[in-house]
Amino acid sequence: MPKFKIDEITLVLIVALIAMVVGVYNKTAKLEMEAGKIAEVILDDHAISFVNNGVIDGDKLSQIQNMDYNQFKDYLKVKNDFCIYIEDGNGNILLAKGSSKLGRDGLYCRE
Amino acid sequence: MKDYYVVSNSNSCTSTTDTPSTENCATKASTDSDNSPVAYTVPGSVTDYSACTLGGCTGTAYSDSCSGTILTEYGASGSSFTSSAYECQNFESNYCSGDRYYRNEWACTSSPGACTDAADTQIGTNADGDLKDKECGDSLCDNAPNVYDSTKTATETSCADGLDNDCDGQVDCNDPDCNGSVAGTVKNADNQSVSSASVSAKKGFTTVATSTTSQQGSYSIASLSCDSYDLVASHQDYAPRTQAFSLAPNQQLTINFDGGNALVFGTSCEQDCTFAADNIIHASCDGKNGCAFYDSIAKAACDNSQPGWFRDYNETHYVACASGAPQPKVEIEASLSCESGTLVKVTRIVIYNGEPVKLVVAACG
Repeated sequence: MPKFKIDEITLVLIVALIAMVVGVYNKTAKLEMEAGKIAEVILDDHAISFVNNGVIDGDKLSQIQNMDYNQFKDYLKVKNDFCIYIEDGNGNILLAKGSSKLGRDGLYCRE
Repeated sequence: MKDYYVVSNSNSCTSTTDTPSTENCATKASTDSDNSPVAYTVPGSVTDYSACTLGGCTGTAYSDSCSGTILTEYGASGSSFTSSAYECQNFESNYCSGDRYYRNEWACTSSPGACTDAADTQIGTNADGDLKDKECGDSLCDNAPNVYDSTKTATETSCADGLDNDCDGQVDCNDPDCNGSVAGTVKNADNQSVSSASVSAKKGFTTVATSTTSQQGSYSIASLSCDSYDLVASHQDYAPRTQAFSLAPNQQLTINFDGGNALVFGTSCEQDCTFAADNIIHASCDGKNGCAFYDSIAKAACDNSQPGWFRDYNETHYVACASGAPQPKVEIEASLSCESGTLVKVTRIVIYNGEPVKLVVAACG
């Protein structure tokens, strides 16, 4: 009987672990979809796109930089907080725009 | 004999025959002698009855009348009447008769008035005097005043007489028959032929014709209407050079860009170190027309880039092309945190200021 009880607890733990993994996986997948959606809007022929044929339009980028973060978020129709930044080949952050909640160690996501 | 008497204080008329009848003149239907309110070609008048006399109902007569070519046409309408204005020229039409072109004229005449056919007017174009009008199918020289079938020539023989000599619709220098040409060579200040230079004949800002120089530096604009132009020779390595000229009818003009008119190397550079014809920064523009690089390192770094692009100046500095001073690179490694848990990044490679960069979208949830 005690042996059976241990197996039952183990089973419950395994199920809980699976549920947690699935939950995390689903959450990650949703976030990836949302980040991908933002990227597509930025790259696509859209009113708030600042990339044209793979080349960043400095003027449009400046407009986005000056746009209120929450307004920008509304345009993108996303729920989660985000930060968009441009990183050169050396890992230097050239520009960043987004929620300050994501900033750390000098990466300042300007709202 | 039929006679009437008037009923006192009324418009009623009663006949005095053996079988007397009474009618109310106020309500008696008006009459129109041309029987229609649209009988514009028939003179007529309308009688609007209103009172009774010993002779029966009487009223006011309204006759159709004219004012210029406008007819005022009256018509009966119940016990009243209508009036309307009509333009008699609406009846007019044009026609050909015996190769001549006429307008069928109409007028408003008489009293009572009516629209009537009037003497027709010859309105055709017979510029060549051959008694055949253009409107009736004579296309020969009828567009050329003072040029006749008998004086018509195969080409525009005179380019300054104001006549369309060959009846092709184009007069003097506007006729390609009067075109001339301009040709010559383009050389630089060292008396070397300049190949691939563009030579354009311009009127103001409008380019009329263009030619490109050959390996030997020669150009030719074969057909150019007689007029005054600016001839502009340009090449990306040289300053554009302009010579004004007038081309006489059928003149074969030679204009060379040499000697004092030779192209001078390099000064086609703009202040931002690009050529006038492109948006590429050229190191060769340094010191010309206000183009100035910070130093030779910046010049080498910015060569073939575009204005505003960033280029590595050295390990620690970059330079904004073309004239910017070196700026220290800001070494910030990207590092993000997500307080609420999961952080996801999506990366795309794009071009920024002429260099490939990573565009990163990080989402936190």
